[in-house]
Amino acid sequence: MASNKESVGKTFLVVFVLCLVCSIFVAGTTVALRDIQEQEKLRDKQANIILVSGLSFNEETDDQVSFYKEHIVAKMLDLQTGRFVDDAKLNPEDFDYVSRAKTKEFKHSIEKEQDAAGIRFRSKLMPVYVAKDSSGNVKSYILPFYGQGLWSTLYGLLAVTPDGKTVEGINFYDHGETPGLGGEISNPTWTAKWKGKLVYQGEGKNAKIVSVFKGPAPAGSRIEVDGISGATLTGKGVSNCMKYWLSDDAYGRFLKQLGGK
Amino acid sequence: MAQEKLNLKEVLLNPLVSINPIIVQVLGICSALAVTSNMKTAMVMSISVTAVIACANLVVSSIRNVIPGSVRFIAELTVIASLVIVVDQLLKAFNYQLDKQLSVYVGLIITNCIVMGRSEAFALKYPPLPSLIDGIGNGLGYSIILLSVGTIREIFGSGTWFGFTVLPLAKDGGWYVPNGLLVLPPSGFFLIGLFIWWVRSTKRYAKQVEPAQFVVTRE
Repeated sequence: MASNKESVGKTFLVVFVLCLVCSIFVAGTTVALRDIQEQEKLRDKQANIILVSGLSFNEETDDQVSFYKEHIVAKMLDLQTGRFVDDAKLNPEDFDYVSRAKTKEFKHSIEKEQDAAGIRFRSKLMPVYVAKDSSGNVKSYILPFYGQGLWSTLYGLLAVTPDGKTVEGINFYDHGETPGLGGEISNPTWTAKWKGKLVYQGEGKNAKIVSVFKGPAPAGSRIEVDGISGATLTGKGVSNCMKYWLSDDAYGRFLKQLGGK
Repeated sequence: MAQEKLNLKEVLLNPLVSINPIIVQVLGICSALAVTSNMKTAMVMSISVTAVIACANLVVSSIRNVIPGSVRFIAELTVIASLVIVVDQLLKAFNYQLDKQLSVYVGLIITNCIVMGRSEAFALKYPPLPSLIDGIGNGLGYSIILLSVGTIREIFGSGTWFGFTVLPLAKDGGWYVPNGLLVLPPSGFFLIGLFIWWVRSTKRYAKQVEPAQFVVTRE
């Protein structure tokens, strides 16, 4: 047996069989687990939405699924007009705004000079999650966004108060930044610093959009958030996301209409 | 490949301290630094690595007589990589939160030198049963270090253990001001260094100390 196992034919055969067996094994597990994974992902997304909404959710006593059903309503927002649209064909709960952005029907190309987030195009319609407290009043609007960080695309949720003027919370639910450095953007201690910041400040030339400062933000600033040390470029990516997604080309119109009421 | 009689108990117990993969063979350091800032990730990583080493050893050992020598690395790596992907998929399905925290490190089990090292050094030479036991032993040896480092780092770095408060933090109204260094990866390096020093300087394991490479003489 030892004599012929080194022959070229035998080598190819062994490698081929091994690869076949391994790939069947791997593919089988992936297929078998897909449903559970999708469910977990959805659960995770709902947990993130509840977390960022500013609603008081008690992990021990409240059931996440029923809490979500009771307090969160997802709606489709037309960014062009800044108004919600009712389209029975679209389910805002599982509207995949990243992959839909590539389809003819929903593609909106972003002008180069406006494209701070580096995403080139986005979906015309975006899901917006409306969080309501127990008495039915709107607590916050939760806006999904994404854009380039340092190594990866950052996917996040920004919650704003009902008048569209103040940040209620921010949360990054998916990114591939360096753990311990850029990855700290998903650290709750850091995201907590966003609460209460203004979305826009000033008019005309001095107009500012909420952003991440390099280093500790100037004392008393209501528009800049402390930067994370060792994560300057990721912070810049977050600022760029805000710059695009809060501009008039994205959620700007919607937020201004909220404030105008 | 003369097969000396293996003492299975020694195969299992030796890697725990006396030939521990991390502190004596100095393998698998990278992940030991990265995932030990809290116990939950350290625990999941320990279980995953132990499972992967054990299964990889078992599989590699059972096909050791048909693997051609010229492609044995590739064959071992194929087995290991498949197992790691399966572990990653299982974590994604049953503990999504932790999988997100561990991020790339689960995938990086593939490059953990302990797994490859044990396949190459042990499983290729011995039958499946001792190989399986060797894998479990080495996995446990890795786990012991990971969990000890994790315990120290989480208690003194964040005041908690498995997420339960041990030392109430000053910022939450307690008295303990955490040591920020322990949350960062370099502290894992220092702690593992201290473990290595401790094991090698105790008399029982003094034979681990390599002979001096150079002898300084006066001419």
